[in-house]
Amino acid sequence: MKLSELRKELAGQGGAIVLEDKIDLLGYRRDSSIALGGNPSAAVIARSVEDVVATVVAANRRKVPLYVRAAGSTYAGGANPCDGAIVLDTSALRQILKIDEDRGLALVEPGVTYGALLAELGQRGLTLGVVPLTGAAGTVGGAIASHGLGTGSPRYQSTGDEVAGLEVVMPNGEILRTGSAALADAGFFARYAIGPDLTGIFLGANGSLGVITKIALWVHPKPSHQETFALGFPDYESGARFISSIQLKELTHNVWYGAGYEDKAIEARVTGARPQFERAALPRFCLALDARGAREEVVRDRARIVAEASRFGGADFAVFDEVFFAKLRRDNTFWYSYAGYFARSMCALLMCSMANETIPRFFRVIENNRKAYPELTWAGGLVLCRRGVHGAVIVFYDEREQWETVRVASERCGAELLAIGCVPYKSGRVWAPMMERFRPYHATLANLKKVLDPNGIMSPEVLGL
Amino acid sequence: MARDDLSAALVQGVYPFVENLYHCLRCNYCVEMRWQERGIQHVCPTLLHHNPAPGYSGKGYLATARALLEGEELPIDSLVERLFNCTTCGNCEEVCPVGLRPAHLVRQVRAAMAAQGLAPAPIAACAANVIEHHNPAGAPNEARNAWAVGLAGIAADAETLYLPGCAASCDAPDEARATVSVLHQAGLPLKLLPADQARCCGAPLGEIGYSAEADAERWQLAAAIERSGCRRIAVSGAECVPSLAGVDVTGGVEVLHAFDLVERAIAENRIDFKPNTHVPRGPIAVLDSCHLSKPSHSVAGAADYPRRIRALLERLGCRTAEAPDQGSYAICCGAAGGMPYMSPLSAARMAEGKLRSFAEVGAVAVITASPLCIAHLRRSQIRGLPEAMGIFQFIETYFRLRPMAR
Repeated sequence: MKLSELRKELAGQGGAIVLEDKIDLLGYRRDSSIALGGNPSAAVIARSVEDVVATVVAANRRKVPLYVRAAGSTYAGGANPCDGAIVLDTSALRQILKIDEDRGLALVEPGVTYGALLAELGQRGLTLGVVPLTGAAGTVGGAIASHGLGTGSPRYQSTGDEVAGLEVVMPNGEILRTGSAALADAGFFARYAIGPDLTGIFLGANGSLGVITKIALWVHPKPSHQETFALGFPDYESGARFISSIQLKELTHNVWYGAGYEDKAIEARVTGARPQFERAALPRFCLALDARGAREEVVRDRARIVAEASRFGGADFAVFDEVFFAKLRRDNTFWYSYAGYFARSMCALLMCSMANETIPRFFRVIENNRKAYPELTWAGGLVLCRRGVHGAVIVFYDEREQWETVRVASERCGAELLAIGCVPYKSGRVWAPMMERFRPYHATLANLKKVLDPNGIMSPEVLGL
Repeated sequence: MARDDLSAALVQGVYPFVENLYHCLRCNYCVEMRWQERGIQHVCPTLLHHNPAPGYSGKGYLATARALLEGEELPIDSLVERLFNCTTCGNCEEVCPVGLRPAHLVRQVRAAMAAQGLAPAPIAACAANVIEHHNPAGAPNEARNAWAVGLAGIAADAETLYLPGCAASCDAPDEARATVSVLHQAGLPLKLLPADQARCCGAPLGEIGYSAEADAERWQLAAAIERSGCRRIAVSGAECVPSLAGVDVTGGVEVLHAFDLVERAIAENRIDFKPNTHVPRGPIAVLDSCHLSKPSHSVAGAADYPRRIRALLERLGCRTAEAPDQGSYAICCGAAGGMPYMSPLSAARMAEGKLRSFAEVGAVAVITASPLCIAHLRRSQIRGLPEAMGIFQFIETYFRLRPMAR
C-alpha cells in the first residue's frame, strides 16, 4: 500500500496522525518482550473512535495486517507487528470519560494510564481492583487486552474480572458495546446480561478480534490502612498447601499483593541487602504480603494468616519484609511494577498461571533450566491470586549477545511448563508457537476469528491465529 | 559527505551509550506517565507540544541510536529534526526506572552531527552567535554590561565576581540589575568583568552539540576570571552553575548562584527584610527550572533551588502554590536545549502550557532563579496568565534589605 493513500484516507477523520518515517516506526517494532519485532509500514495515532473505525476499514479494504497497541509495555509480544503492517496506536485515546460513583465504575478510553486513573480515583477516595505490573505508564487498554494482573489480584484475581463492559470497533468497522451497554440507553452497569458474555472474547485477545475503544471498570474504596509482612516456609510443598488454605478460608480478602519466591531469589535479595545474613537461616520458599483495609480488619487477618502459616511450618520472615518492600515504602506508591524492578538488566518474562499444587514443579522447571543455560540468570516468582497463582519465569540476559539464546531457552522452558500443567497467562507472540496444543480451544478461537475477521487482518500470528 | 563517513561519526557518538541502548525495557515511562505521589503529570515537553511521534521520545532516541549502531540506514533529515527538537531537559532521565540517559545521548549525537555540518540552520546560527558575539542571542558583546550603567553596588575591588550570564545580560537585564541592587542592600558589593572580556560559560553551546566551541568559550572565561583576581563567583544563569563548576582557575574558585549569597546572609543573620509594599495577595509559584531542580541535569539540580526559594518566600509571608508537576519531575518550559531557536512556536507552546498549569492552581506570579526561563516565559506571556519574575526582581519590588547591626 502506498502510505500517502492511507494518509489521504484518514485526513479529516478526527485528527489521526499517520506516521511513515522510519525513525518514528522504530518504536513500534517491539513491546517489552523478547519476541522479535517486525517493521511496520505505517503507524496511526488515533485521536477518536472515528479514527479507529477509519483505520480498521482502510486496513481491511487493502487487506493489510493491523496491530493495536497503546504503551507497548507488556511482555508477551502481543503488540509486535509483522513486516509491512499498520500499527494502530491508541495511546492518545486517554480520556477518563466518567467516574460514575452511582454505578461504581469508571468509563475510560484504552490509552488511559494506570497512573492517571489512580490519581483521579484517589482524589475521590477510590481505587481500582487490579493494577497490573506494567505500572504507572501501562494503559488500561493494553492490560485488559493482554490479561494484566498484579496489585489487587489476591482479592480480585485479574484485570478482566474487573471489566464491566467494553466498546469495541469490530474488524468490519461496526461498533459493538457489550454487557448492559448493548442497549445504548442503559449504558454500562452489568457485564453479564442479555446472553453470553461477549466482553470475555476481547480480554486477552491482543486486538486480534477487534479494537477496544472504551472500557468500563469497577471501582472500589481505597483502603485506609496498609501493612506488609513476609512468611518463610521450609519447602515449596508447604508453601503451596498454605496458599490453598488461606485462599479457601478467604483470608486473602484484605491482601492486595502477594509475591512468592524460590530459594535462589530469596538468597539473592536478602544477602544483596544484608551481606552478613546467615544463609543457612534462609527459608526455601517465602511469601511477601501487602495487606490493606480497615486497620482492625488488617490486624485481625494478618494474625490469622500468620497462625495459618505455622500450621504448615511457616514463620515470620521479617528481613524479607524489610528488603522486599523497601522500594514500595520509599516510593510511597500504591502499585507494584516491573519497571525499575530489574535495574540495568534486560529480562525475559515468561508468564503462566497454575494451580497451587503445581508450584513445586514450577520451581523445579526453573532449576532445570538454570542448569541447562548457566550463561543466563534465572529466577522464579509467583503472584498470589484469589485462586491459584500466577508464575513468572524471569531470565536476565544481555540483549547484545544473548537475545537468540534467551528466545530458544524461553521456548524450551515454555514447553516444559505446559508439560507440568502451567498455562500461558498472556500469550502474544511468546507463546504463539505452542497455541495449537490447546485443541479444541484454539480451533474454536480460530473459527471465531474467521467469522469476525474474514480477511485475517487483525494482529495475525499473535495468539497463533 | 559520504554516507559511510556520516554513519561512522554517528556510531562514534552513540557508542559511549551502548549499555543504555540494550537495557531499555520499553516500559514507556519516558513517553507518557502520571504518578501522583511523585508529582509527575506528564514527562516529555516535546511530545506534548511539538510532535507526539515516538521518534521524539527518550525511548525513541534510544531505539534510533541502537538502529544507527546496528548499521540501519535512517533518513538524515528526520534524524536531525528529531534530535534537535529535544529540550534536553532530562525529565526522561528523571523518570527512567533503570537510570538510562536519553538526554545525554541526544547531546552526544548532536555533537556528532554538528561536527559533520549537519546542525540545522537555526541551531548553527545560534552557535555562530556565541562564537562571534559570545552570547546565543547575537547581541553586541560590548553592550553586555549596559544594564549595569550607573548602578550602585558595583565595585572594582569587590571580592565576589558577578557573572550574570548571557540570558540575564541580554534578555532579562532587570533580573541582573535587581541582583546587584539586592546584594548591595545586603552589604555585598560585586565586581563585573569588563565587557570585552566577558564570555559565555559554554552551556548553551554544549546543549546544542557544539562541545568543542563550548570548551573554548569556557577557557576564555576562565582566563578572564583568573585575571579578575576574585576567587568567588556569583552567577545568575542557572545553566552557568554546572558549566563553571569545573573551570580551571589557579587556586580554584567557589561558584555560587547569587541566591546562595542571600541565603548565606540570612543564615548568618547579616540581613533583614522589610516590606516595601504589600506582597501579592494571590499565591506565588516557584518554577522548577530544569537546571535548578533535576539532579540528572546538573549539580545545581541536586541543590534544589526552587524548594529553597519557596521556603524564603514563605518566610517572607508570601502564600505559595505548587503546580501538579513539580520538583525534579516538572515539565520543561521550553527555554533550553536550543528549542526556542529550532522550533520557536513549539517552545512558545511549552511556555504557555507551563504558565497555564500555574494559573490552574491560582498562582498570580511565577518566580524563578533562572533568567533563561524568565526571558522565555515572558516572551510567551499571555494576558491573564501569571507574570514571570526573577527572584531578585521579586525581592527588590516587594522588600528592602538592611544589613543587620552585628
